[in-house]
Amino acid sequence: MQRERGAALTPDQRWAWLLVAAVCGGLGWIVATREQPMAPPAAATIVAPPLVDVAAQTLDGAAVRLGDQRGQVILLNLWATWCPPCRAEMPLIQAAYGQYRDAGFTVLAVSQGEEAATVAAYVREAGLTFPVWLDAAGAAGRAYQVRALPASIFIGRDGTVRAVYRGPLSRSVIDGTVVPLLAEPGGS
Amino acid sequence: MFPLLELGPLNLATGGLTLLVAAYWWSRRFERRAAHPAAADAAIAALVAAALGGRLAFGLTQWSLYGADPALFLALRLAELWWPAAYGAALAAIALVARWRGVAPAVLLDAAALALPWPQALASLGLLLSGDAPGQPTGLPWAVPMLGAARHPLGIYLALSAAALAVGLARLARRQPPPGRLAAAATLGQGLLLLLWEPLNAASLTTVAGVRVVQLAGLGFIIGALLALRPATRPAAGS
Repeated sequence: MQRERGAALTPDQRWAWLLVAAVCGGLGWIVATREQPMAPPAAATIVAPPLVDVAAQTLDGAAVRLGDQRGQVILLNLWATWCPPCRAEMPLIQAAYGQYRDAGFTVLAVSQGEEAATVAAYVREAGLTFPVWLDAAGAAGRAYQVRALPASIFIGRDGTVRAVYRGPLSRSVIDGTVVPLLAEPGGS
Repeated sequence: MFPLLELGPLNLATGGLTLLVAAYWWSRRFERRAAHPAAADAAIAALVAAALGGRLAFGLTQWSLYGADPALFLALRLAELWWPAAYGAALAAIALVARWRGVAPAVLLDAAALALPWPQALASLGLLLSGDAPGQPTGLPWAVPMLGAARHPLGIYLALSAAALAVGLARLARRQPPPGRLAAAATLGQGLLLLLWEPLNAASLTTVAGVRVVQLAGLGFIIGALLALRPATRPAAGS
């Protein structure tokens, strides 16, 4: 009797079951494949060597050095305006900068091999408020062995390199890296 | 990665050019398959709606940047489009033009859906060329070196999936289904594509608890398509 009932599903009932299965299966798949918020990213490769000091220029032409920023948690982001993933991660970096700046976090976005006018126009257009530097000769890229953009180097308050990510950052990666570094005691 | 064509003072990203070629190719295929004078208007409306809808959604998802400078909504950045919104806006535009021109919307929507997958496959390869939608790092033998790591070639996965969708839709079209079924089946396929491949996108936009926004849109497409594919209720006997 039960088999007869099972076999007698109408097209409408079959469709309803299919809909329920699609919703449940879809939601299950979404939850199973969600990004793990604080998972250590696979691209982290360098652990705690000292910061390599590099010289650069501000967009106004002033000479600056990475070492002068020691004492803060630094996201050293090597990028270029022509690089789509670099542009794609900028809003996330800007949002993180706005959130953690007052806690001692800064971003140094060092453009690789580009002219000031090109970079300044993009910075204006994108509304970026963190420091953007120029590295016309690509010295920072060589110092940190970066061969593809974007690359992001996180530096702790003690002036050591704590994580290096190659490729675009996600917000959870930024948060998951910056928050523990901000919680550390300040370096000398 | 990011190959550029240098034409005088212009540096053109090949990914963006591929997208433009794919859009033109789709419009030609759509007009040929629809074989209706309204198709030309619908194609233009769909492309404009896709560009506006895709950019509007992208800007809203990147509000910290776009909110600070609303002029970005009109900036010439081909890669900054959100595909689910672009697809939905294009379907809506085609339906509106069809109604305006007195054509059954399902006729134009079916033709548009049937025309899409091959150009979509081309545009997906463009994503790989331009470095957009980079895959997650992997040790699989077919990984491609990209952005400093061996990664899933997500653009190729998307292109192959679009090609499979094209073959499936062509087979369905040969069976001459009722109007609207092709568009619904295509939307179902698009939803599956978004749902299945997005976890391999290293630049995935996430929301609460790490849930990927594109997957939610994909599930929305699937549910919408299944609602459209609901079997017609038969009239009661004797009525």
